[in-house]
Amino acid sequence: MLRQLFHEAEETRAMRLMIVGIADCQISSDPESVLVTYALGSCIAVAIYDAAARVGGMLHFMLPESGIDPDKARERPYMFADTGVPLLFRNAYQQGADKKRIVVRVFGGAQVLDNHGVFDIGRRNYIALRGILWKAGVLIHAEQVGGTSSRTIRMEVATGTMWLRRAGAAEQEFGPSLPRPKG
Amino acid sequence: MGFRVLIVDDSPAMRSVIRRVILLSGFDLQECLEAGHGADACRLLRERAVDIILTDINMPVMNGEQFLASMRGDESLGAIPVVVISTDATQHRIRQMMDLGARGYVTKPFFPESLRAELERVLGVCHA
Amino acid sequence: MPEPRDAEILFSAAQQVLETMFFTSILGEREAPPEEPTLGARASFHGAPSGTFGLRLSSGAARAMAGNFLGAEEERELTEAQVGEVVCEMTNMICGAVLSQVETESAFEIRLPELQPPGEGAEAGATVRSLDLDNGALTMFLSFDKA
Repeated sequence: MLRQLFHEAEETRAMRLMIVGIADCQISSDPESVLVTYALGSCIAVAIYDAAARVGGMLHFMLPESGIDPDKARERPYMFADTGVPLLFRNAYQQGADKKRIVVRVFGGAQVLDNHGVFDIGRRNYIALRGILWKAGVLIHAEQVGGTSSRTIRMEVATGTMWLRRAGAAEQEFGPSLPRPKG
Repeated sequence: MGFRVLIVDDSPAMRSVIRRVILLSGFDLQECLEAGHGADACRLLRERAVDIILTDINMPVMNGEQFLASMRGDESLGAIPVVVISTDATQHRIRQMMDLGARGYVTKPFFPESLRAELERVLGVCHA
Repeated sequence: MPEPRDAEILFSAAQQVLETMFFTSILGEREAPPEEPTLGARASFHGAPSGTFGLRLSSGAARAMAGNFLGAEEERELTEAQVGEVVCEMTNMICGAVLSQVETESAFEIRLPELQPPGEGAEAGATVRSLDLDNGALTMFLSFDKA
């Protein structure tokens, strides 16, 4: 019993949960951190990781384009793909990540009836994100998008390993494995 | 050792996109040659060595089907792996081009990651 | 005589191409083509059946989508020639996507698309479909040669 309590205390101490909320972004180079974002519906999470620098970042955005509400975009840049994604990368560079080494994984964009009463916002978010990444010269390493169920994801900053849980299913490690770091 | 690629497509815009995908995919690219149709591609191949050819089908002067057939008739050229990149997504055409010796087939429109995956498969390289 | 199925095929082909390589969403149908300046291209195709496919894009949409396709950070740096080349390739791809649904068992050939002068519209009897995009408007024309 004592041994089990000690083990659980060790695990909790080893895991510093950094929650990425809706229209939010977190970056970490702390190997004991775990980035997590919950209940992705039509929203999209962009998870980036530089294995050589051991820097991880996660963005959870809601809408494709900031042009619909520039004031809101100034106040909450992570709400939109076109303002949030560049900031995600810039924030990661500030912590030592290198664009050439960054691996991108994408989740969410499910087809749900959202607050805007629009079914296809998930798809539009995904299309907008692809355009932004293409223009930025970044390809996607892996993704799980679309469908109708919500997703919760987390990333261990120490290793870049990710786990995915879909609504109604058990959490599973998300493959494929990361590329070996160059240089 | 870097790869030497030949892109054959009558659209300069599409050639630009394919070139960009190759560069962004992390391949060690030594040289990227381009041709607007099969006849120009054949002329280039008489002078330069390449490791892989990416070709469209619908092109003027010499289309992709004619180009592949002409390569097949040449012992040295016939060994170069070819990936077809075409708007024609019919099973008939895919079978036809694979029978002519194509090692891969990507239909337009494509995500850049799909082209990357097909190139990695044909070249036997993995960036993982 | 335009067929209702042709209109559906045009929509799904356009959606597939525009979303995948031009990062553009279709917002809905338009009653009529836009009145603003447009850029158009046309391609003839040969097979079973043969015919003509063409499209017109509002000028703003053409430039925006050319930037998207080529991955250009600044679309205003693109030349008119580059925008024209992209519009031609879009014509080629949507035409190919249409024919891949229509001609499943025989080969088709698409001739090199050509830019069209302003004001040149659809042939008589063509299926016409106009769409609102998130960056402008697109009108497509599809006609099959009589057997």
